[in-house]
Amino acid sequence: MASTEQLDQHQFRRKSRDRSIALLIAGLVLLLPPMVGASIIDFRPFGIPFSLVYVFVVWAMLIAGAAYLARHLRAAANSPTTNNLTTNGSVDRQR
Amino acid sequence: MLSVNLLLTVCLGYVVLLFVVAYVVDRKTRRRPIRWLQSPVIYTLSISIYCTSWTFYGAVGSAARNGLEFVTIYLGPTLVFIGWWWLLRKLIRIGRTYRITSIADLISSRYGKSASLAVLVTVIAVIATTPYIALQLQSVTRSYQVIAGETDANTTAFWIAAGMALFTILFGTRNLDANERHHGVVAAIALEAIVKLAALIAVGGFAVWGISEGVSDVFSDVPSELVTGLDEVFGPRWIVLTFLSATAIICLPRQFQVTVVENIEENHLSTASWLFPLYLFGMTLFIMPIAIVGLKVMPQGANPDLFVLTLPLVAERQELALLAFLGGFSSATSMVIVAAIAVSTMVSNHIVTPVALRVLAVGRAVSGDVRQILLVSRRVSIALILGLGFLYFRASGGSDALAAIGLIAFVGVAQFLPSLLGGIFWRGATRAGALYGLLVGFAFWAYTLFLPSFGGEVLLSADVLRDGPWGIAILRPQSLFGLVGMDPLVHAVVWSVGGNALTFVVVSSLSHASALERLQSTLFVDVFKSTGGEPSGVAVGTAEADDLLILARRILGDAPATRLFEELARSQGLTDGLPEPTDSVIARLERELAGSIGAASAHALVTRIAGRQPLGMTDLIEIADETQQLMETTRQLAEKSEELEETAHQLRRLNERLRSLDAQKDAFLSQVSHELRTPMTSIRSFSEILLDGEAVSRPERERFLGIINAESRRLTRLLDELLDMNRLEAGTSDMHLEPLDLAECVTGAVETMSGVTQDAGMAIRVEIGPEAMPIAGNADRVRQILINLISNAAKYNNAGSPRVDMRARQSGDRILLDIIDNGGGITRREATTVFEKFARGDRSDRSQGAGLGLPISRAIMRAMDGDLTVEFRPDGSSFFRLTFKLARGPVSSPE
Repeated sequence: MASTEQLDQHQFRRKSRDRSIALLIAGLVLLLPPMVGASIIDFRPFGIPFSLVYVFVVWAMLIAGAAYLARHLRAAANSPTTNNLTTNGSVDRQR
Repeated sequence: MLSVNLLLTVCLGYVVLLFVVAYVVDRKTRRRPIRWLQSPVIYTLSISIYCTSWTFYGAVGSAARNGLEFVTIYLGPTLVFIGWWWLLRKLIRIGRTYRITSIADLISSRYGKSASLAVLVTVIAVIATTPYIALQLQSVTRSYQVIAGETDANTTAFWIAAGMALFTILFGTRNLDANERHHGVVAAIALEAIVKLAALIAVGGFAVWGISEGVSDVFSDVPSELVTGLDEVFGPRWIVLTFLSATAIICLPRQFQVTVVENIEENHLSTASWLFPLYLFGMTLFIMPIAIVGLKVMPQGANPDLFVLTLPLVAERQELALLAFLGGFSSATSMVIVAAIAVSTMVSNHIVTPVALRVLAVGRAVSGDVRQILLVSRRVSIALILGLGFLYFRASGGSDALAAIGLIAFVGVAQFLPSLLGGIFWRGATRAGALYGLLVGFAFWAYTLFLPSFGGEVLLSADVLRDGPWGIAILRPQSLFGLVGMDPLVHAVVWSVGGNALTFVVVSSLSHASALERLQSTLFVDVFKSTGGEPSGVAVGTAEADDLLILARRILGDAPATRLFEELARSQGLTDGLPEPTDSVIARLERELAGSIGAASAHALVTRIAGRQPLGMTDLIEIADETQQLMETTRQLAEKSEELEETAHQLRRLNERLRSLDAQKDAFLSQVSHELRTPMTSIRSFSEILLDGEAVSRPERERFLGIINAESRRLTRLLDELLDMNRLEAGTSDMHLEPLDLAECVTGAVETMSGVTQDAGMAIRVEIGPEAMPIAGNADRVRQILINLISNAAKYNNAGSPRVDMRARQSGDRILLDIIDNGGGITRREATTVFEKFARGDRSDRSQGAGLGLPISRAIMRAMDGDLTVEFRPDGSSFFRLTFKLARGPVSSPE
């Protein structure tokens, strides 16, 4: 039934929003002290100091997560349940 | 060595290319939008003006000095962008809905379109942008000196500043776009974004695989301290820098310009949310390797800020050095152009325009060409901003590390953050709170960071820096109120941003918001809930439409203003002439003007023309409207649930109906089996007797066989009738209708039945007039019905001398045939059941017929558009009536 589908979509979107805030919090925790300080260890993959590897790997993972979420969040942004603003016509946009 | 002439030629060629791109795009977009330019990728590339020459040159220097710390400048924006849903999306929605032209416009609009707030934000923005522009001038000048040898730095910087000002004026102020969008400039800076990324990656790749032998070689025998710093790198400074860079990506006037004002499509943000961090990732990936290789290869004391350029030069790779120079040049020019456009818009909208209006406005009319004033003021502002940048460059001596200068600007614009965030998330934030918060933050910033950056040459002397004013140690700019031993940057952030936020919150909660402020706060905070609210207008005023048109022409230009007014007039249903200056017209006009000159100026102007209080009952009514909208929604919900209830009720009724039909079907089935069972039983028992054999005499056997035969016929007839009934009821029986003469049909049927009626001693009298009675029917079926009715009359008539009268007459387009016997008819109670299957009249007994005759007859009549009914006379006696449809057309013979 249509309403069940809508409900599913709605929940799916809310999930996406929850995930986006989870991603943000993960970024803050992983990239700020004290967590980032824990990366100072005596381990050098390919000779690179671990802190450097750590920061860039976390960064890359955040980007990947954001790219994955962007698609779903865009759908959520365009859904009428999230916001119901109608673009108000103006001279400029019609030109 | 790279020749100066070649460098200048290539640079000039590059600038010409930028000119051409900007010019062509500007012209084409004027006619119609260029598709690929409206893409999210271009949007992302334009945001990347965040990476200025501070990134291109300074990040390597920063990495060489402080290790990994440079990354924080890019981690902050990354966090803001991956959390776009929560902040940037709202900013963009507000910006688009209320035609925001700059960050000063946003803050002033939010706090009741306050002109003083707009001026304050503009002043802070100009002052904070100055060191940033100086930084660009410095980096381009130094990189030029690397190639051209020691020239006079000031002269070089001056010409660079002049060139940039020219470019910005040419493309940033060609016209007054209603939305402050600059498509040509955006295309040019997108191109520059690609150039600087490519250049930095090329130099990085060369450093890693050209000079060194791969990644492992770069990092071999590099002490870990080079990356993590000698001090603890992940300390308070790390947090503060991340916070500052996150703030800068929102609050820097140029970032606000490209992210919010130049945004064409809200959806683009979702792509930028990962693509922009990816761009930053690409820009910074090679910073550390370049710094390390530079430290290894370059002589002691070489400026690490210039490694990107000097590494290829030392390795005698001139084409790479040229590319690196172009990259640095690109990052500087794109930043300067957009920053100058953004800040000049603010200056002209919030400082020049209000002053000009005051000077030029005589009474209610506006004299003079406001458009021209706006354009000129923007051009002058651009020149002024670059001039200030040049002065700062001269005054600061151009000796600081690039990153340090940039951070001064970051802390300066971070002062906008409390008012901005409070403005869009907190309804209680007031104009007074924002104003005092900004003042306090600005004062702390100037005292603890900006003025000390001149090294004791401007306003604060070296003595004051060291010992405090008048020797009061507790007021020392870099360890204020006894906060000693702190990094100067962290110190400045704690005092300025902390003091700002605290003042903002405290004053906001102590002060009262005006009605306009309250309205704007609702519109901004609830931007996703509103339905595209109008900026609050003026009370129904004494504004004349002519005055408004003159005003609109001066600011929007002739053609757009005329179009707007025509559209407004049409929307009021007027075919020609000017629209009535109603509230909504004035509000709409104000919104259009706000797109050109900012909300505060537009509001002031329109209010002046309308000659009324800036806020009237209408604003309050608008606030009330929101409540009304909510009530409307509730009402609709209630209607919906009523509808649902009604549907449920109907379903219940249908269900009951179905259940009763089901019961009828069960009853019918049990009757059918009963009817079948009776003849079956007699057939079985008589056949069993016959099978027993001997004891049965011949005549008896014949009698039994006769019974079996009769019962079998009865069964067959019953089954035939059931099938017939079924077909008729299902409507599948194909009834061929033709015109028939009723008299002929009746006569035929009576003749057929003459044997039976004579046996019963029954007289039949037919009374049909001489005139033709054409009926629509099927000859066989009509005959079947008549025979059925006559035989019923014969069977059930217990009168002494049984008699049947058949009378026909016409009634409208119907023909009625009454069949009246003198048997007494049936009672009213029987009349309701006589047409049910297997019902029999009281006068009958089980042996006669299955009780399907009447139901079948009625079904046939109905299939022929007629009916079979029981009619009652006033004395209670009853008779059957056949109703036929009158036939049109010639009558055919029933045979």
